[in-house]
Amino acid sequence: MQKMLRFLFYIVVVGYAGITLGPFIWSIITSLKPTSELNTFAVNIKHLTLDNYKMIITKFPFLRWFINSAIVAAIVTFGNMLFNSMAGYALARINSPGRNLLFLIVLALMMIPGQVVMVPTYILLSKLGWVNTYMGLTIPFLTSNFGIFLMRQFFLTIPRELEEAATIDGMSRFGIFFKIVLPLAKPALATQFIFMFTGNWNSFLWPSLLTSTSDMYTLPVGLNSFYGQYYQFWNQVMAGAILLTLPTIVIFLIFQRYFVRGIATTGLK
Amino acid sequence: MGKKFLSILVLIFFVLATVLAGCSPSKTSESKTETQETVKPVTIKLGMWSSSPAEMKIVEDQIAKFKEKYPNINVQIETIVGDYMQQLQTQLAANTAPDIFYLDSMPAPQLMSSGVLEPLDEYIKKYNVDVNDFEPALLSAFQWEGKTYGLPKDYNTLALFYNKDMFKEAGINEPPKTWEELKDAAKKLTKDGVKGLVLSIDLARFNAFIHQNGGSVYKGGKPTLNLPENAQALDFYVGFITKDKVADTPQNMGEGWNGDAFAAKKAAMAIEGGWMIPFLKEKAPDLNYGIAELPAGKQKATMVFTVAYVMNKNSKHKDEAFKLIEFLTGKEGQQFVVEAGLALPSRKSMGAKFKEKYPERAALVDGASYAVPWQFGLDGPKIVDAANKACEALIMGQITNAQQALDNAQKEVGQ
Amino acid sequence: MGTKMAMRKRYLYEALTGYAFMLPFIASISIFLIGPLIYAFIISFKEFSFLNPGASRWIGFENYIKLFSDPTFKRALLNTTLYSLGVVPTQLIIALILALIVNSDIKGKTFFRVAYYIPTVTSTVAVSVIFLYLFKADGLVNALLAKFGIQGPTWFYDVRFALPSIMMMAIWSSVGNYMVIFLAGLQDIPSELYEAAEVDGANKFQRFFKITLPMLRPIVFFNLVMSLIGTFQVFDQAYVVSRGTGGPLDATMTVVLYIYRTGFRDFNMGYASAMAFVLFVIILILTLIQRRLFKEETY
Repeated sequence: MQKMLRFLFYIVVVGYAGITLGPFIWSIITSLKPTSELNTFAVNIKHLTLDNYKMIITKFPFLRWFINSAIVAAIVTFGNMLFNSMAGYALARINSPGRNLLFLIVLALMMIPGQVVMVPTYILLSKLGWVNTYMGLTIPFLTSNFGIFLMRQFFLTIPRELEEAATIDGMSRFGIFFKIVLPLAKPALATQFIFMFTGNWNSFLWPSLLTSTSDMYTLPVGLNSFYGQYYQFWNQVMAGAILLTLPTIVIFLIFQRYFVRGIATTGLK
Repeated sequence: MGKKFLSILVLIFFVLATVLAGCSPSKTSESKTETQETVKPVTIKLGMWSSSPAEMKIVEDQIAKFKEKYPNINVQIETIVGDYMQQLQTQLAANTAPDIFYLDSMPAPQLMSSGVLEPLDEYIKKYNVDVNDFEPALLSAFQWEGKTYGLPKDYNTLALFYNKDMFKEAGINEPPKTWEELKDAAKKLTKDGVKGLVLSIDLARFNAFIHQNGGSVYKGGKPTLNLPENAQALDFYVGFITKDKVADTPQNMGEGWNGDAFAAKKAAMAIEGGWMIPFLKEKAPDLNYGIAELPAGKQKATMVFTVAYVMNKNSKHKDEAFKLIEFLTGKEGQQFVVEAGLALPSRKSMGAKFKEKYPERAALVDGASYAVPWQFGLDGPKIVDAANKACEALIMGQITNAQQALDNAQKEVGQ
Repeated sequence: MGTKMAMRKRYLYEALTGYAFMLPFIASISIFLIGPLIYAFIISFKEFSFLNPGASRWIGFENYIKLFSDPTFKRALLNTTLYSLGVVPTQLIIALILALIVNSDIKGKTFFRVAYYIPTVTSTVAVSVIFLYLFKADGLVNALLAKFGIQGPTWFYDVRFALPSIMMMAIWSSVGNYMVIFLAGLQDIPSELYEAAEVDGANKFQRFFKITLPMLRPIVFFNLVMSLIGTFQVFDQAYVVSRGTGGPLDATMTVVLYIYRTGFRDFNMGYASAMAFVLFVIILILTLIQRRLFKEETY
């Protein structure tokens, strides 16, 4: 009976993985197909080719777009890791007057559909002369309400006894935050890193508004300009999509290792 | 991930900061060299949507030729990636829009009426541009309150694409010329899971039928969705699907659009434009098809879709920008359009050349003389929405009376 | 007296530290968000187009009044509410179950974590192509249904099935994100609690309801609020599947899709802003209710 249940459990778990992986596997296979075989659903393994990848990398300033994306994502992710964690910690733990109001503001700002603030924000950035610059692509995005909310909730789950002990030892708030709280919050930081990096890496709307020349495009914008031209060639479109997705999967693979239990409790005993 | 991680991130940050500082263009040195020349070269930005490689090539070739003629005018292409009107509207509001840009006929009234475009009449006079050579239906789409705001770059009309093999098999020798013949043909062609006709729920298609029946959805500056002629035409259009069952929508056939259904040989006839030609060449190279003028109702009518080059009111180099527009829409520029054969050249004189080069595509050119532009004033998008909903409701059987469906639509537009 | 002074000093110091921690965030939103937001709020009382701001006209509450008699807006609000009601609980329950699975000691844990996460980073183009392919009139799903003698609908193009189809697609592609957050949250629960419960003889289910869920409360609140905001602002899926029309017959018209069409296609930004603020108030009220229910408090 126990064995039967376990077997059933594995079927469900593997089956669901099939559902989630299906489209991704399909896009990998499609990206390897020659154009002549696009219309058939069947796969001829002998005909699979890397030509579509070569075509994207050589025919477009792919490397340039990749570097732009990497620079922007690195700066934005770093800013968010630091600033969101600080703000999230303050909102969770430090008793400053008005912090509840500030927390409500964090929530409220996420509730306004971006479509209606888009144009005024763009006008503001263009007045600053930031259109088509790295400044424009990074500085407005250094903090995120989503990230702050996330970090606040995680800090709430961390036992506060450790901090209290440190306060008695005469440690400052900054010391407590960097030396005690952050090391305890590894799963939360890893989560934040995954979301901030992936969100920024895939972000399309703002970079497409803020860049006007091909040499400033980030990868999603560049690939989209190419989709517009080659939308009938699924194989090439999918090759582009896979190239875009790979770094986000690598980041996830690296950071999911921090989802390990047990660290937060060591100090309690 | 604690300290070590943070210090690595800090390091990356500083490295990137220095890289960034190095990357930013040093504008000062460039401007010095510029002043040494007697004639300052100016740069005109040309805004367009991202399009097929073939269309990109036309623009690039045109610009190369333009450069030969005007060495002091640089042209920089700015491809607007993403939603064109959304981005353009944002850029216009912030005054960062290109000097000249593509504009489709449908949203043109909004832009023309709001004063973001430069009227071209003065320049047309100054540079003696022969505007009478443009197909009148095309030019009129870019005129507003007596002023001309854009010169059409090319266009496409609707025609009847028909599968020659299926016609032969059904014993039909000629493409249908009237509504009755169309219905007969569709009936004969419907068999073995193949429909005679594929029809989409789209005003951009059935408006041709409305005009063939003497109707119109927009007249004298007002929506006129519920004219009895319109209802008759819509009833005829929808009847193919609901009453005679000799046609269907591409979605019900499991396809994305008319072109797919026609290419997949699920329908013998489709009403589409010149964009079908490169599509079919790619998707169904063996398909034996012909292009005929749309069958006539009370009169001949078809739709024309056109795009013009317009000028930003805030352009700093208006004379140069106009020279570029003039060249792109002039005979020299249009020659490239003829060569490529993707869309039709907007000048009558060049249309004749196109017919010579592509005799089998004559139907597309011939339609221009009696075509209705895809434009319904300031409320255009709303009229399209309401009309499409009416058609959808009829096809899905939520309403059975076309007149009633259009009455509702007229009410929705608010007139 | 001295201790009171010291207390006040400490209190002041604590307050200032808090603001220092929040400074980057406060600076960022005051520069980049608050201004544009006030601007958007003002134009919601105007007849306004960004193409011609000079010709805008103050019309007071007219935009807001018009909303309540606009059938498309009402339909969009209904669709959005149904969408949210369907998606929020489903995706959170699936996400929590998946998180528990990939947090347990099953074999190939890393593989399953990646597999379940992948939909969130799979290209939307690929996702919509696949879904449209599977669910087209003569697609795989309908072929399968036909084997059981069921005539399948046209799913995305059927008035009754279009919205549920989009909901399905949305759940499929977003569950991974919520799973990751739950997964991270599970790490912060001290294992001593479980050990103690085991000693007391609590079974798996008791442990889940007595320990896991209560300890996870802040994270559940987070996911619930984010899921609510996300579903009430649904745009992408509806836009892609209906090609921006919200069809068939407004079956997939959502509030944000309508805002987008009003603002950027009909050039009526004033009306679009009014809709945005009505949506804002709705989401805010729902969030405040949740906060009350969760007894969300700061410590």
